[in-house]
Amino acid sequence: MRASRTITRRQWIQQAAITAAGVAAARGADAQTDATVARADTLVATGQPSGGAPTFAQYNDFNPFHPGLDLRSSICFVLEPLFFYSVLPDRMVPWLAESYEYSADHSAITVHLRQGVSWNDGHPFGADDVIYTIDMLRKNGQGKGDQLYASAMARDVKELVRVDDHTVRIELNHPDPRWFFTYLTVRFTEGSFILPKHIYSVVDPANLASFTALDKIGPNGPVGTGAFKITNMTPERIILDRRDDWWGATTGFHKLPEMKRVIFVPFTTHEQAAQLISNGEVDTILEAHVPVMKSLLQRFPDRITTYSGNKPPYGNIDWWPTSLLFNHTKKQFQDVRIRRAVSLYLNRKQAMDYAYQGAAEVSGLPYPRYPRLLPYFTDMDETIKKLRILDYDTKAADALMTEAGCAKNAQGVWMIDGQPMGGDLYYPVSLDAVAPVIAEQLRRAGFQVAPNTRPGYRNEVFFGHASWWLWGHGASVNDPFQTLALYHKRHIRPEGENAFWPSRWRNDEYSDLVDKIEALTPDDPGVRPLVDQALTIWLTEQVAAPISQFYHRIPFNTTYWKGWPNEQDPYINPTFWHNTGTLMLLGLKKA
Amino acid sequence: MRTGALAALRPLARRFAMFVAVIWAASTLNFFVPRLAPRNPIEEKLLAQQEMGGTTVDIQSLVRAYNAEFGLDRPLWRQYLTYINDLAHFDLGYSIADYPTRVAAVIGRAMPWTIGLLTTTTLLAFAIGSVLGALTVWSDAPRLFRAIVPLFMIFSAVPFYLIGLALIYVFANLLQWLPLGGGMGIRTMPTLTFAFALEIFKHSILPACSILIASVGVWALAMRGMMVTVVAEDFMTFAEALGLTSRRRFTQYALRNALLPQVTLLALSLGHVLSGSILVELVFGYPGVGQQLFRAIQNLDYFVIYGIVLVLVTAIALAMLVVDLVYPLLDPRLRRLGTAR
Amino acid sequence: MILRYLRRNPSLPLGLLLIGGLLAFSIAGRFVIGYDAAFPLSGPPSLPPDADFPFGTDADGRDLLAVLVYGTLLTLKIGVIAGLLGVAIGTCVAFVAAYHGGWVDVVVRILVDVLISIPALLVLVVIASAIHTSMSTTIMAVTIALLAWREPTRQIRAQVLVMREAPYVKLAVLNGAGAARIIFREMVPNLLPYLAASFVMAVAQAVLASIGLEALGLGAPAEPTLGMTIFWLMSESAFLLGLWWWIVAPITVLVLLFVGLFLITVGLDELANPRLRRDTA
Repeated sequence: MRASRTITRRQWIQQAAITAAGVAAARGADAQTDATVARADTLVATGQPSGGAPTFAQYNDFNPFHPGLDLRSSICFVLEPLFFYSVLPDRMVPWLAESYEYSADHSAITVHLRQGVSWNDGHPFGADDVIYTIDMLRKNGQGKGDQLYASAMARDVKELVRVDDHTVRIELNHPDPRWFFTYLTVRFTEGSFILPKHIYSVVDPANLASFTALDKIGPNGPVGTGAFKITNMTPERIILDRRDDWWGATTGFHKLPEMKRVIFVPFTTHEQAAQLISNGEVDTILEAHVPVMKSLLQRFPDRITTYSGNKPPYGNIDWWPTSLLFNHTKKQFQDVRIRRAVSLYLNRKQAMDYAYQGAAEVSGLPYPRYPRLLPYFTDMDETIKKLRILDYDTKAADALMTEAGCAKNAQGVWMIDGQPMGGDLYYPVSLDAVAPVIAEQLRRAGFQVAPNTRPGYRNEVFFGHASWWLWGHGASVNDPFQTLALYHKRHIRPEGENAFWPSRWRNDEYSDLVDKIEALTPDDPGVRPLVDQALTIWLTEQVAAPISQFYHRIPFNTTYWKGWPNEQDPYINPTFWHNTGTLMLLGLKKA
Repeated sequence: MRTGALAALRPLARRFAMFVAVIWAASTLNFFVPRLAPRNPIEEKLLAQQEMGGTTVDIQSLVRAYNAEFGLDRPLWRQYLTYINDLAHFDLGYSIADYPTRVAAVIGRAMPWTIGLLTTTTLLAFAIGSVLGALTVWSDAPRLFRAIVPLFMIFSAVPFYLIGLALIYVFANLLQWLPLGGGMGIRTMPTLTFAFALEIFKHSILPACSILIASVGVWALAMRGMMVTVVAEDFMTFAEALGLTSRRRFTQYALRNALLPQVTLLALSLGHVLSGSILVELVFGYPGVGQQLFRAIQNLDYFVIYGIVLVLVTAIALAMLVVDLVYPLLDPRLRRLGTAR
Repeated sequence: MILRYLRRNPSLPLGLLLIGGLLAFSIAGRFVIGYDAAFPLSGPPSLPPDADFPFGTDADGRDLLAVLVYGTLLTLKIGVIAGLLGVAIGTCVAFVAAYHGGWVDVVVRILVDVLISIPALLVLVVIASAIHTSMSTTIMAVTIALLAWREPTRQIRAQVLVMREAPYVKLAVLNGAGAARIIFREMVPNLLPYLAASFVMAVAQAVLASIGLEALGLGAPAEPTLGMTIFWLMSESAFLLGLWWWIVAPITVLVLLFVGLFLITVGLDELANPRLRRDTA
C-alpha cells in the first residue's frame, strides 16, 4: 500500500510545474471588467483608509453627521451643501443656496435656495430639507448629542423659519457673524451637507447614531442631490456612477462631470500607491512623500504632474501648518525661557531638508499661507525676527535654559527640579516625515525624547499627559479668528480630562482680545490690529513653536484625465477626499 | 468494566471541556489585555476626526453620548460580565470605529480572504517543508535536496513581509507579471465566472509565495526534529536489514511515522501563520482578517479586537480538538491502545 | 580528536562562529563609531555607501554602520533576555508541575495548552499596543518573555517526567536524597543539552517576534534595533526608491543571526543524541 497521504517527490514537481504554468497563463489573461464603462471614462483614486489598514471605515454608513466618519469617498459626491468654500482662489461657491445675508445685528441669517433642484429619487429639494437638517441636529443636541454639530445647533439655533419654498431664516440665540461659514459652508472636512427630509424623518433624532440612511434608499441608491450615485460599496472599494439627470445639468447651472464612473480604493502603503499611479491603474492617490514624488516626476514626466507642476513644493498648501506644541500645565514648560530655548534648538531649515528635501516653507505663524491670511505674515514679520522665532541658536538656547534653572546631568540630559526634561514627542501619521528629525534635534539638545505615534497617542495628547507634541493648526483658512480661538482660556481642562485644544495655556489679556475679535465681523477693519496684538502676545509667550507650512503632495496621472487644479488654475484644492471633492470631479476633463 | 460507548464518551467529554476552557481563558485574557492602558477608544475615534483637520466640532458631548452607548462608563467587572454573556449568545457586539457596523459583519467580510489564502499556503508549506525537512536527516538523500533546504532555512530568517516587498518589486513592478496587491482588480466586478476566479488566484499568488518561502523552512526544521527520533528507532534498522530500498524506507517507514505527530503541529501552526498574516496583508493590501485586526488596534476598537482574537482562538482550538479526535484514526497504534495520554 | 569531531559535525562550532562573529562585530564596532551615529541627522540622507559612510545612510540620515553595530546588539539583547526569562520560567514551572504532580500538574498543563493555542504575535501586538509608557527594548523583551515560556515548559516537563523514572533518580530517592538535591544534582546536569537547545530556539523566536512587532510600528523608536530599521525602510519606500544598501544591511545580519542560531541548535541536537552523528565509516 503506497503512502498516499504524503506528497511524493514526483507529485511535488508536478505541483511546481502547474503553478509556474498558472503564472504564465495569468500574465496573458486580462482581468474581467465591467464592459459598459471604459477606463477612459473612469476616474480611479485611492482614498483615505482607516487606521493604517487598506479598508474604508463605515463603508455602509451614509449619515454625514456620524462622528469619526473618516470616510469621505462616497458621501461628499452624493450629498451637497448650501455653499462650498474654495480656499485657494478665496471664493465662496453658491451651490444648493444662491445667496444668504445676515440681519443687521448678525443674529439671523436668511438663505435663498436655488430653484429646480431635486433629489436623485425625483423628490424636489426645498426649504423643508434645510430646516429639517438643522432641526434634526438641534433636537439630537438637546438630547443625546451624539451627532456632529448637534450640541452647537442646540446651543445656537433659536428658531427656524420657513419663509417660502426656497427661503429659510435661521434665528440664532446670540449674534454670530461667522455662523453660516462655520456650520453651513463646506470646506476641507468641515461644514454640513443637507439631508433629505423624506428619508430621515422616519428616524427619531435620538436614534440617529444607529441610522445609516441605507435602510431607505431610492432607485438611485442612497438619496442625495449630487451628480453621482453609489453603485457599489464594500470596505475595499466604492464605485460611484454619474447621474445624467443631475439638477446641475438640467438647470444649466453646471455641465455634467465628464467621467461616467468614479472608483475609490483605500490607500495602502506609499510604495504600492506610487506603483499604482505610475502604471496607470489609478489616476490620483492620497499623497506621495517627497522622494517618491520626485522619483515619479522624474521617471514619468509625460504623465505625472502635481498642483505645482514638477517643481517644489510638489503640491498645494494645506490648512495644517506644523508646530511643536507645549502642554502648559507641565512644570517643565511653564517658564517662557525654556519654551523659547526649545524653539531655538530647532533647526527648521535642516528639518525641511531632511523631511521634505527642502520642498517646504518654514513658517513663523500658525497660519496657512492662504490669501486672506497673508497680511498677517507681513504684519508680524518684524516681531518674528525680533523675537527670533525662526532662529537656530543652540548657544543662546543653552543660556536661556541655564537662566531658567536647568542643568545638564552627567549624561548630558537637561534636568529641572531633579527630573529629566523632555518626554515622548507624539505626532500624527501625516507628520511622519518630520517627526523623527525634530525629535532627534531635541535629543541632541539634551532632552529625553522619542517620537511616538503608537495607538492611543491622541488620548495622550488630548488628555494632557503628553508634555509636547507635533500637530497642525487646522482652524483658520480665511479668517484669523479660528486659530486664535484655539488658545482661549475656556478650553483649559485639568490633566486627565479631554481638552478641545490641549495646550492648556492661560492668558487673560489674550482671551479678552479673542473675545473682542469674535464680536466683530470678519471684514471689520478693527479686526486686524486686534489680531496683531493677540499674535504678538502669542509669539512673545512662545505658546508653541511654529515650524512650517504643510502641504498636500498629490500626484496626478494625466493619461486619462486632465484639468487638475494647479497653480495657474486653482479652482479647488485637489484633496479629493475632502468634503469639497465634487468640485474637482466637476472640473476634470478627458485627456 | 464500563461499556464501550461510555468509555469512548469520557475522553470526548474531557476534550470538549478542555476546548471550552481554552475559549473561556482566551476570552478573559482577551478582554483585559487591551484595557491595560487607561485609554478611551471613543475619544481616540473622535479625536481622529479632529486630527483630520476639523476643530469646529465639540468632542465632549459626543464622547459622553458614545461612552454611554457602548457601556464604557460602567465599572470594568460589569462590562466583563456583559461581555461573557454576549459571547455565550454568540453576540460579538458593535464595532466602535465602524459604528453602527457589527463586529460579526466586519470579520465576516474579511474571513473568506484570509481562510482562502492561509489554508492553501499552510497546507502547501506543510507538505513541502515536511518532505524537505525529512530529507535533511536522510543520509541517502540526493545532494540537491540537502542543498535546497539550507536555502529555505535562510529564507525563513527573513521576515516574510520583506520577502513580500521584494516579490512585489520584482514581479509586480519591474516585470509587471502579477498585480500589485489587493484581493482583486480595481475595476473588476465580482461574478461567478472562471475569469474572476482566475483573477482572485492571480492576486493571491504573491502573498502566498511570500508566506510559503518563509514558512517552508519552519516546517522543515520541525520535521527534521521528528525525523531524528524516528531514524534512531529500531524498526528502521530492521527495515534496512531486510534490504528494503532507501526510497521505500524513507517514504513508507520514516516519513510516514514522523509525519503523524506533525499533523498536531499543523493545527498549532495555524496560529503562527495567522499572526504573520497581519503583516502580509498590510504589505499586499489583501483584505483579510489580519489587517482588520491591525486597524482595530490602531483605532483602539476593543470589540473588534475581541471578536477577531476570539474567532481565531476558537478556530485554532477547534482545529486542535479535531486533530486530537482524528489522530487515533490516523495512527493505528493508538487505536489499539486506546487514546494516549 | 577535535579535528575528527569538527569534520563530523561542523554545525555547532560553525554556528558559534557566526554568532560570535556578529557579537565581535558589534562590540568592536563600538570603538569605531559612536552611538549617536545610529540616530538621524548623522549624515546626508539616503547616501549610497562611500568612503565616509561604508554602509551608506538611510532616509533620515542615520549612519547604517552604526545602526548595524548597535542594532545587532540591541536585537540580540531582546532575544537573549526574552529567551533566558522564557527558559528560566519554563524550567521552574516544568519542575514544579512534573515533580508535584496532581492538581498542580493539571492546572499547569491546561494553562500551557491554552496559551500555546493562542497565536503569539497577535497577543503580543495587543499587549504591546496597550503599553502606554515609553517603549524600550527591555520592556519589549519582558513582554515577549510573557509568552516565551510556553514551549520550554512543555518540553522540559516531558523530559522531567521521563527522567523521574530513570534508575539513577530512583536510586537517589532510595538513598534518601531530598527533592532539591535530586533536581540539582541529578536532573539538571542531564537536562543541560535540552535547556541549551530550548534557549537557542527561544532566542530565535523572540528575535522574530520583536522584529514583527517593530515592523508594525510598535517598537521603541528611541533605540535603533534591526526591527526598527526594517520599519523605517518600509515606511520610507526604500524598495521603490532603490535604496538597496538600506535593505541589504539588516537582512544580511538577520540571516547570519538565524543561520547561526539554527546551526547551534543542530549541533546541540547532535550532542544530545549521538545517533544523529553522521556515519563516517
